[in-house]
Amino acid sequence: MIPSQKIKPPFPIALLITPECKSILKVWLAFFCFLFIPFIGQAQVNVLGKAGHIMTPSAKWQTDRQLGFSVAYIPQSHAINRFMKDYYSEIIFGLRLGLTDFLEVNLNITQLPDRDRIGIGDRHADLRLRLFKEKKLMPDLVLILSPPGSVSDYLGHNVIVASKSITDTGIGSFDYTLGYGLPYVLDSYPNNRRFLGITGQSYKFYSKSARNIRYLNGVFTALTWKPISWLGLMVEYDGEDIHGGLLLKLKEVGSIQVNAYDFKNLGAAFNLSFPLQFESRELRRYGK
Amino acid sequence: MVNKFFFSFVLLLHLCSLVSAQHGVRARLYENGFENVMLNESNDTLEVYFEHRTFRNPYQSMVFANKIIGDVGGKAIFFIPAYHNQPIGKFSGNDFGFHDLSKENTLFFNENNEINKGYRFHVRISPDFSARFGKFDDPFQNKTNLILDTRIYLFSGVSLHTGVLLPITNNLDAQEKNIRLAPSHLHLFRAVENRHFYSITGGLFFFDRYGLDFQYRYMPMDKNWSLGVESSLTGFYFLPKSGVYMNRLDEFTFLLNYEYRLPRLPSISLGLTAGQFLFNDKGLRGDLIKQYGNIDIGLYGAMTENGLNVGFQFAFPLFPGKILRNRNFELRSTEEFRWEYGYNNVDIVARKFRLGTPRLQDVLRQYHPKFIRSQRL
Repeated sequence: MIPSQKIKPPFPIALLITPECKSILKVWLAFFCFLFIPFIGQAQVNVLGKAGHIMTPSAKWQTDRQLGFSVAYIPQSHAINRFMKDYYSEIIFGLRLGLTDFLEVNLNITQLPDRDRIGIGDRHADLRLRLFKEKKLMPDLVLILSPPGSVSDYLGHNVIVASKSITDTGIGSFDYTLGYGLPYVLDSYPNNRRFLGITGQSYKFYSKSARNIRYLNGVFTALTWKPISWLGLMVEYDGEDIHGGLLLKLKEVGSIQVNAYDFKNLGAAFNLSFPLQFESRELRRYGK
Repeated sequence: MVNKFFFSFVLLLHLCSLVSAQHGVRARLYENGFENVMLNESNDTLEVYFEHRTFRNPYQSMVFANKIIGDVGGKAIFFIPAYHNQPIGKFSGNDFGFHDLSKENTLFFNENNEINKGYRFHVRISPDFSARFGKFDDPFQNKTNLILDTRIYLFSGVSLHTGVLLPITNNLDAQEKNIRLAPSHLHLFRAVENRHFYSITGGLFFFDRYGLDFQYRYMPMDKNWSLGVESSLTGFYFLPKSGVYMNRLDEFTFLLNYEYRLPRLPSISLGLTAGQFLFNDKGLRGDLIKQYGNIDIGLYGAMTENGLNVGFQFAFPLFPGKILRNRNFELRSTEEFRWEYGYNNVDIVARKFRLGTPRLQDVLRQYHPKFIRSQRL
């Protein structure tokens, strides 16, 4: 089956004109900005909304801003989701929730704006575990696990990643990341066993390449250089290609990233992060 | 004779100053939204009984009270926060350590409880939001209403909750956008012997249910675990533009719940619920709930005869809290906006309904001594 193609408006108009996207953006902005605008912070995240660079995750951790929302546009050339045996440019919405200072839950849903009548779907969830906190010589170390049963296998990744920051260089700060993505994904399938009238599940590792899953297979690495606190330049190898990106940290708003996949195809990402532990407004304002 | 007169005069002055100081503390607390404030002062302690309906987190209401009261001549302050006109426990104002309520505490509360004079008339603004994501031709279906409601205390622990519902949008179901009665009910809440908690609610609820709901929870405050029973007999109701539509009262639920607070991570609780959910759906539901203070976020998974579901829930006080407050009236946003979303939006799995009053389990979790003390760090 050959998928029907529409004339694609240029980015970022493509991102903004779809009614689904507009509805969601409106609700997100109105709802969350209204609630949390006094607490907006900044974070550097990848296209899935977890601490990272462009496609790759990092081992950096945010302990005081436990809630993150992100939206990212990925061009067709480097799309992650393989829909009906083909790739389309995609918008990935992300939610990050820090449960403890060593465990985060990440959720994603994907939209393909160039495809009619498929709505929003391809849900994905993963867990991020902090194994080691950065010290003088040792890097941050994080394990990312995708539990089986996720609707979108294409976002499935099981990763170990280390990141190290180098500051006081005289020309800004550097963050270096090195990681490895398991080229297998754990999946579940129904078996004959039943419990409380519910069909049981069995689990098995599958080769990602056999399923055309091209996200984070093998070794990946990334470097971010921040010459000034609100500006960063990124370069990364995601296991397949080399990408570059520009990061703008807007103090009151969050962060915006412009990414160049293969240094040719443009994408973008936007995220907000908020603390979940704060005093009530009335308590905060008392005596001021 | 002169000495006696002088001594009596000094004593009178001292008593007057004590009464005046108490009155000043009460007035300052009341001005700042504390209601049904009672002070029980002795030589070395001051017990402050109060209820603050704008605060979802009792720890922050006690911190607020501490700030307002300030120093009381070196006396130790103890707070006895109440929920729905029932005192829950006794917390030290110094280190927020928990103490069981004594018989004297209960007697003092009952003798001085001011149902009529102690409370303002509250108007609470609360959104009601239901949504379904992902339908291909309408990926964001939602029903959004605004509720203006109030709670009027009738007797000790007995209150009437009622309001008006103003519809805003609806592309989720066929319900008309008519202004109608918001979920309204009579509610009885009882806290007995520091560990037995009862809640009986009768009237109109969310999710188009009406009927009767019963909850009991056994929660020893010095333990990490608690046990609960929830049961309801409800029917479907609908308020169209013309009249009322009600089905028979024939949906029975019965659930047992066990909740365990992680000793090393006291802001995280794990829960297991088993029994019959709405629509004769028997099965299990597991919950992980993280309490951030004002905000709770939970993840859940359910396995029932109707299928599987996973999802999340959150609860938080809606900004800005107090909007307008004077001696007799308060306009405010809701102290708890709760929302739950399940990934499986086809099958009805492990479905419960919201009462309009927070569930006992969710209320008591906020008062757990370990959670209260964990916020000091």
